Amino acid sequence: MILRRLPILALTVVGLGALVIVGRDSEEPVEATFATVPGPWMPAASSADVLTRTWFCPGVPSGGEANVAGAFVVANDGASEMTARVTLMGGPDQAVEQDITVPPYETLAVDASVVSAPYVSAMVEIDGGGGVVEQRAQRPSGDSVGVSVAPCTTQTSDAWYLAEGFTAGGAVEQLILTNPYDDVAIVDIGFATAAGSRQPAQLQGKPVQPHSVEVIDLATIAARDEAEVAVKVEATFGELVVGRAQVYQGEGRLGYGVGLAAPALRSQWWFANGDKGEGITERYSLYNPTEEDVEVQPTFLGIPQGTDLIDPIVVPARQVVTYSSDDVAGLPDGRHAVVFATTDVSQSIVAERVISRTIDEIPTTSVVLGAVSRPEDGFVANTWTAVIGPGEATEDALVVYNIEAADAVVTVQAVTPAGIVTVPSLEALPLPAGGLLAVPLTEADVLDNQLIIRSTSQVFIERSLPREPGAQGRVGSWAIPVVG
Amino acid sequence: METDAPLAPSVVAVVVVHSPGPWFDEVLASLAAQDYPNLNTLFLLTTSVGTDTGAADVRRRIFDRLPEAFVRELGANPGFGAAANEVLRFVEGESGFFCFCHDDVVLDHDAIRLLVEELYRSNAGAVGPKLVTWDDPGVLQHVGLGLDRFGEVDPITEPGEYDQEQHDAVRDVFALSSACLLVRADLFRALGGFDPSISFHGDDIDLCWRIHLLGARTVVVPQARVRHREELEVRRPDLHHDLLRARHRMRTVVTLTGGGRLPMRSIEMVLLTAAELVIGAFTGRLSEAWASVRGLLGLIPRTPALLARRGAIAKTRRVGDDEILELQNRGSARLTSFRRGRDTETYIGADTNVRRWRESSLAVTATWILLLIGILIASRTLIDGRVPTVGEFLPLPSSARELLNDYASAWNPGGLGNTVANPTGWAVVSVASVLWLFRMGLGLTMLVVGLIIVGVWGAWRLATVHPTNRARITATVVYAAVPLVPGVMSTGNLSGLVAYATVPWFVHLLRVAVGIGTPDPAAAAIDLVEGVIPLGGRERVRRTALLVIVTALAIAMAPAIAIIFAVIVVVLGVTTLIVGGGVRIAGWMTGLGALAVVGGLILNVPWAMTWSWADLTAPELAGPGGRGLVDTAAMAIGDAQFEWLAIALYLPVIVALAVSRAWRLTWAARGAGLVVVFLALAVLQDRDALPFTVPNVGLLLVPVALGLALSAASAVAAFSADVTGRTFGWRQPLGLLSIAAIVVGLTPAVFTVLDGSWYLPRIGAVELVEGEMPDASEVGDFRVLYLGDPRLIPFPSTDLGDGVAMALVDDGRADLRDRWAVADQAADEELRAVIDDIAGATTQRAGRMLAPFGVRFIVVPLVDGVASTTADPLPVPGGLLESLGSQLDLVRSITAASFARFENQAVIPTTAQLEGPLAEAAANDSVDQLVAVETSGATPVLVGAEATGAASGDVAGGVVHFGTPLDDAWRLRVDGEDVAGRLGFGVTTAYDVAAPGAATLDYESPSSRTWWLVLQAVLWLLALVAASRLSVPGRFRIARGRDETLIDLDAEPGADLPPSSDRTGFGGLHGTDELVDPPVPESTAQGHRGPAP
Repeated sequence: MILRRLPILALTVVGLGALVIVGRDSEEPVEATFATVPGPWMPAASSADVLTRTWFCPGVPSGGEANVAGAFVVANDGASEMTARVTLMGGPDQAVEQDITVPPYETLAVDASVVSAPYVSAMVEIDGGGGVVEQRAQRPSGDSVGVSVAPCTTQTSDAWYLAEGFTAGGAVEQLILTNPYDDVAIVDIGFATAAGSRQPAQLQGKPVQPHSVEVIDLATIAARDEAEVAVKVEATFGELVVGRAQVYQGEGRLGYGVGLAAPALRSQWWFANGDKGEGITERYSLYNPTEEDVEVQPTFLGIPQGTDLIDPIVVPARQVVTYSSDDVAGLPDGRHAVVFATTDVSQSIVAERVISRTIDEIPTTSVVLGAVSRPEDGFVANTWTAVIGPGEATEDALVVYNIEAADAVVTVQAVTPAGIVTVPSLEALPLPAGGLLAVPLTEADVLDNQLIIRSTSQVFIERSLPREPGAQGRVGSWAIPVVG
Repeated sequence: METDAPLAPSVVAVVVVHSPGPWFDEVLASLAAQDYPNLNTLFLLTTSVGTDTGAADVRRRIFDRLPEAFVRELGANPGFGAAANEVLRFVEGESGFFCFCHDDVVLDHDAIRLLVEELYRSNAGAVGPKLVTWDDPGVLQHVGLGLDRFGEVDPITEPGEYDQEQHDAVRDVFALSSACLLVRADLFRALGGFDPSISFHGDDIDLCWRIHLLGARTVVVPQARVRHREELEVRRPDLHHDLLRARHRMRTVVTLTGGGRLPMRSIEMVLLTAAELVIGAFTGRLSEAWASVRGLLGLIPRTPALLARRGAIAKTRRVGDDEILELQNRGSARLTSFRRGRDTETYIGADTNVRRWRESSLAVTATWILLLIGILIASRTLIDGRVPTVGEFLPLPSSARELLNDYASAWNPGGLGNTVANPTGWAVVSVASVLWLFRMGLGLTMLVVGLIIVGVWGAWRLATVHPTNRARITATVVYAAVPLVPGVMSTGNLSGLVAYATVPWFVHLLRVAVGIGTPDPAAAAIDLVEGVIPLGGRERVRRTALLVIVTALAIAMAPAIAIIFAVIVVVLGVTTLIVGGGVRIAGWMTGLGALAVVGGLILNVPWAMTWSWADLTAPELAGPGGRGLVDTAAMAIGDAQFEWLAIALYLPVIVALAVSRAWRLTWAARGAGLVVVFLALAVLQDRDALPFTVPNVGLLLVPVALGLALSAASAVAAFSADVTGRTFGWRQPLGLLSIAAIVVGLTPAVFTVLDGSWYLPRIGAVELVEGEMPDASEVGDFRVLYLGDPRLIPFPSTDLGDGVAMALVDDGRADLRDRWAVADQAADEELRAVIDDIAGATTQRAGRMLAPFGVRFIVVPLVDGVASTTADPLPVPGGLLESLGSQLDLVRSITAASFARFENQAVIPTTAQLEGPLAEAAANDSVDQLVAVETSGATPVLVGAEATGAASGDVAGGVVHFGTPLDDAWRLRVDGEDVAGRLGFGVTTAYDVAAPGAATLDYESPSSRTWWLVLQAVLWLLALVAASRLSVPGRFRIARGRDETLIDLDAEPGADLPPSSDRTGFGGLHGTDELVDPPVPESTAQGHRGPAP
């Protein structure tokens, strides 16, 4: 044995051995990340400083008929003038772009009638951070005029879902597909009724032209006179915004509403302003467009005596089921919140609520999509805003549900030309743990102004506005959570 | 003086004596001991012997041994031939023989007798003995000489060739050495003796050629043996031997070649000399080639004398030129000699160096044939078709000249364009295009396949550190067959391929520069750590310069190799120390290696000054690559089969260290060092466990492959030398096991050969992308932004963090120029900021922000068929497609599934006419402000502006946008008037054109670029000169003190001949000392060139 071999032999053996030990288990590769793209969520406002923030509205009617109107309301709750560009979209090649300037602490309504089309959508690009956009739609509903308020969203999506559809009694159920992009979007549309799910051939591979709005009346296809119609719109190419317009005129329903569809399925859906009682019909529609049956556990919240254990609901694959709070044993009359959660969190559905309140023998129907927490982290905001508040004093205009097990206080502020004003009577309103708070908006400062609702806990806030000036009926919609 | 009349014919041994050394006594003794009965000796002394005292001493020594000898002092040395011709004056009669001898030959006692006998037997005109070396009579020197038609001598034997009676047949040869030459006296007299104009080198050739012209034979008689010192160049360092050889060779050819053949022969010699000059520059024989040039040119002023000599010879010619040609060698004697020279090599022993025949084996030839066939078969689809555009395998530019012009320009169009030193690699590829005869379509195939062959050849050359063919073959085959080759090929890793080609050469040239040679196998019994040749300063400089040049070339093609080389140097130095190779060798190795790397970088200046560490290393991934230890060790970095079998090649690494001795152990240690260090780097890189970035795995594994090859060679060599001869123990089975492991480890190569395309996909991702691009002539110039996993981006990319990278290329068809990274600049930071905005979702109008950069398309590579396949795709970086898809002005196109492409609807052509709000926006100081501006609709103008070609066209008044950073070297002229450029959009260039007109946009390189080019050219020239065997001509050397005995080669012939009355005595053939003047050829009157030794 030559001695000079020993050091190098030892080093080599040790070196190779060390490599074997170090490398014996393969490290899992880490996937590259370009951006953390937030999952589809409910419309939310952010105060983060950006170059532009774009809001996409679901669409308002703009047909030039009597009492048909629509507008997009851009709110500036900042101390600086805000500039934006509004692109109004109707049919193909009808897009019109407007530059707008919103003074500090003011709102600006952009009239949709600039574009003549059954439904007009808007894309609002606001320079810099801040700003919130909602839409207001108006059209005749029965003998009156229905007004519907809905937030616009900052996200487009390649999939949209609607659980609560109704075409019975002459009701009109229209899908409003808006493609704000420069390229065509291709969508497949399917629906489910009590008879099962269907994928009409004429709604497969349907193009939605760039910068245009496509309106699809469900009654004109294969979902006529259906008491339950759930819809899914999935883009095979591109992304879009899907809204829905509903005109109820019989079968116990009356009213008009336009709102966004759900951009994603979720395992939990929250509702803050449920109601049970005489003359009230409350129905929840649960739609499972997936290929697996889903078990959903409803839990009623915000009621004095708590909730009894309720049997879970099975939503078969590709089916929609409805669930009425009237059927819930022990559920007291009055306001309640409710959450529908899949028993398997990996499964998801979409849930909507429809409430028809009959006052003076006049029913008023309002449909609200459930609220969800932020998908990435389960975040629920403690600050919410509403660009469009009541134009007249309204009791219980805001319903706040505290999801935390701790008491909180709620303060409502109004954005007036003079700045953000805290309304004395709406300051530090007590909100019990896991409880509900109905906030009246009767002070002059809060009427026709953007509202900011701050809570010391995480809350869901549902807005309940008069269906038309002077009417007793209400139209529900969510306020907009504020992030950051 | 009277002598007894002998029965045997008289032989006069004519010895020309010049300053003899101590050996002369042995010479005299051998003459005295001749058994030939009728031998006279005539000693012709030159006065340059020295002083009278010196001459007297020589006379005394002669008479001590040969008291009957005749001694004649000639005064100054007239040269051997002229001096020997004196015999014609001193000897009368034609019936005897002259035996001409140098003063440094020792004849066997029967030599003259055997020569005379054979002369009679063969009826020859002249005969010569077998010449052997002085010190070792077992080594042949000459057994006659061959000659080709250009006068080149074929020595027939090789340096160091042992006498094994292989040349012992009596046979005709074209020429005989004048060291000992027996010639008929009448013939010699008829010829007029030696050509006195040929002083040294070639006098014997000329004489023998003329003997043939008279129809006489020249025969070698190997039974007659003569020892010869043959030290003319040592004894006469003052002579320019190369020049004399060349000059005399040409004189002989020109004067003795038949008239009918002379014109063609002259042309051939001119061409041959030109070729010799070119080849000599690369083979270290430039001085010889230059001597040939001088010799050729020297014929011109001597034309009259040459013609006169031709006339004189024509009168005596008896044999036609055809017959002479039959006697001469076919082809080129020099080529034959060179080929034979390759068959011998110097082995370094413990104390002495020996030159021996290489180990003769058919296996070497067979191995190389198989390897080349294997490589060609494995490349057959590339040769039959083309190299697909995969990874760095980008097509060569359409013109080598264009490439060279681009290199000379200061403008690099890569990325956003930059005035920056262009890669030296462009010039290298351009110059190398001569290899593929400027057929650029063929170039990439030749480049790719050629690099493999060069690498294997380099491994062979390095493996010559082993004296046995078996070890050399092992190293070569292992290096050729490791899965790394299909790995780098299938991934289009040209940098890895360049490393594969150059790393063996780097190590080989480094050891050559250090002086590590092939050890003498005879020293196998001792633990000879290394065969080290002591090198002179000039030789070491030459070898180091060669190393520097190879290093520079490698770095020019793949800058990251500089890091690989640097680490190799350290590893070799450290392992040399650890294995007991000595501080001196380790120091030389480290020092020269470091010098080579630094030199390589300097030769790439100024380009090298633009590099960043990120340019040299692999792009960062988000975390561990997930390849794993086994795949990394098996070099499974691409698409191949059964690479895991290559793990077996690691067994010889250990075995070689355990069983080998001597230099085998030393090289096994170096191989192991390379394997361990570089494998560790590769594994740690794969695990993302290094605190710094390193070159890509394809480069890191090249030294591993070389280390495996060296270890395998050492293991095989050790099995023969260190294992088989020992008593049976653990070594034998281990040795056998390691050999079996090598066989197993080579198995994957079989599948690679069968694949026939190195597992390259049929079509590259870039081709697919380019196939769907619009024509710039229709939409204007634009750029393509690649975003995604850096492993899939086929161009040098910029890290964006979290495993995402970007690259920007222009609208033209990508070519090899795009594989070199472009220096970063401020505008690149602006572009990255826009991409950050996309990632941060700070806007949905990123298309507008990208517009000033000319980004029309964003391409996200998904599947390249290599790193990411349909069956096993790499994940798309999270949020990338979603972020791009959310942009309002980026439209995703329907494309092949291998990539996603987004078209920017808001693009501004790279050169465009701006109008309205967009023209106003060009005055903004930031691209951010573009989010509120409609940017689409700009009109393309001045399409195709390049640094080497101006773009012309009409422009309207307003703003002309040029999507590159503001650079004064770009010049816009409208109607002949220069338009000043300014910043556009805060990042690009805008020209405010006052009125419509005819515009020209061109680029003028700064003068500094020219100076840099000159500097670089000078540096390369210096390196080439240092690496060559060029020497400074004597007239330019610093004058040295002249030896008093130096000869003036231009002296008139015979000028220094002493008067005849100075002779001291002579016994003629007829027993008389009467002087008889021989017939003096006409040419003799022109003179000879000074004294002979």
